[in-house]
Amino acid sequence: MDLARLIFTSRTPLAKETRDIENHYHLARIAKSTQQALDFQALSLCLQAKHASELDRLNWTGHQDVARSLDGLGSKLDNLASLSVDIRHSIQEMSSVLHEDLVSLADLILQQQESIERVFVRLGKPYETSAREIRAEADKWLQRGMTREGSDRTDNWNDALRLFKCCTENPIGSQDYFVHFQIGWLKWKLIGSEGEAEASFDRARRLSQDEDVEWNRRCLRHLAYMRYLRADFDGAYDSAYQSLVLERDPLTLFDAARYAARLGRTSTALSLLEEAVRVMPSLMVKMLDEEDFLE
Amino acid sequence: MRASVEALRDRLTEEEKERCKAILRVIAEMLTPARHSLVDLHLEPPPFPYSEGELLKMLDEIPRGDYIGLVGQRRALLAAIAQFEESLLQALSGELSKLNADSQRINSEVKKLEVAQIHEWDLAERQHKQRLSELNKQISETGSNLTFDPDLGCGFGCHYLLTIPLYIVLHPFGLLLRSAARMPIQEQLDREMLSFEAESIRRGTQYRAKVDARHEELLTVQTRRELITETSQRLAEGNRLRKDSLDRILLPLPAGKAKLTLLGPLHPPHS
Repeated sequence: MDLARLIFTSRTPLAKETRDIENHYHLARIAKSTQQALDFQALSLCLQAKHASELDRLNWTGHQDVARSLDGLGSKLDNLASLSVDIRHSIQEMSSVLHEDLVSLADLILQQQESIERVFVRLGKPYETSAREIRAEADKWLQRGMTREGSDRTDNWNDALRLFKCCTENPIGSQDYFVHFQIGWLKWKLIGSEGEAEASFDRARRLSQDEDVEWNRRCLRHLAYMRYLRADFDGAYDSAYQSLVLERDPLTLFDAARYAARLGRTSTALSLLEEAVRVMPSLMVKMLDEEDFLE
Repeated sequence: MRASVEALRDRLTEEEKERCKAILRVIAEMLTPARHSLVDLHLEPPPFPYSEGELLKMLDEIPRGDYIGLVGQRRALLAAIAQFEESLLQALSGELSKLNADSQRINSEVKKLEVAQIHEWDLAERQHKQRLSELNKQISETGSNLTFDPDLGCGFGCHYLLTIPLYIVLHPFGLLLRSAARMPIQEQLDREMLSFEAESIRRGTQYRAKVDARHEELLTVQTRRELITETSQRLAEGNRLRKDSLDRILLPLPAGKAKLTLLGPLHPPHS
């Protein structure tokens, strides 16, 4: 399965499309192995490295190799899967640090997958049989849509959204943060309505509070991004900050730095960036390819 | 912001460069004395993954390195130090266990010698006693054969009146004869005593020499063991100091990689 083709909406993804927050959830739902997740991460990093190198911001001795590996990416989109393997090899040759970072990211993705399955089963228990069936059906069409392209994806996701909404009519379903998170994600990716997505993520955040720290962080991180997309940078930073209080993971530190930068809080952004890069050196590449830091 | 981000990139890269240089200095300070310690003990020092030339090349290449490359280099250098220290202590502990095995072997050899010696002495003593008792028996048998029996006369049917004067006349003669017959056996007895004493002394000397040789060997082993223990303690102390200086070099870096604890207060929202 060619994950890059399924996750990137355009043939030549823009820098912001390669942001972790943009594709992590999708990747977590469809990656079948660490290797697949690692290949996708390597490709994403290469795209960022190429972009940063073109802008001459990345003082990276190996960037020419990456750029060479990526030459004609657009025309080779059909062979992205095999290309990503080549790129992964070239990245491995470049530095074990990048490889380590990518492996830890890939592991993180697979852990997310496990937590999704766990919470799906756990929260499904109080439902009546028919409601549980609707919920399972909704999730099936969400996942199926993630592995399809074009109108098949749109139709599958529309079905999934309709079914998830049915779940919320059930008294138990209306308190199910898993369901609200899926609705939020579909409203963002399918309908493109960041406002509605924000409301759903916010409700999922509230419901998961004191229930599940990991999901609460995931909801907060997505909520922050929706607010960012709606140019509510204060709200975005606030949500990212709350997530960092729960755990200072490098990816959320990086997000918070972006929001702080948008707010014009340069010193806060730099200190968050520094902390993130020290834990995950590959974020240096993302940092130099992030439009939020370059304006 | 753009300029600040690029300045951050340069600062982090510069810091990483300095860190690598500091680590290379730690390596330079560590390698020679550690190797010499082992050479002094006639042990093969473990190889270091980088030759002196390679380390110098690394130092030369650092100024044109990039941040990620430098982080990789730092990790590789730290891993090399840890590996070298481990091999060093392993070499010493290997030697120590060899010496422990040696001293155990020597002690058990001494014990075996002792047991063998006791056994040998027991056997020799038994043989000697047996020989002595045989000789004593011979002596007593010889004496009684030659002793004039006062009842002999009755056997001949002689009258007591005749027997008593004869006894008086012949008894000293009998004693003389008995004594003459005992003489060679007594000499044999004396020789036996002398030979036993000589054999005992010979065996005792041999045993002492063997035990002394073992003790000398044990002393050599113990001295070497003390030397090795002292060296390993010195090297372990060196490792601890080196770890301290590496910790100082790496101070601003977080210990973990994937998960972080709360390192310090964040700027609160809306601040």
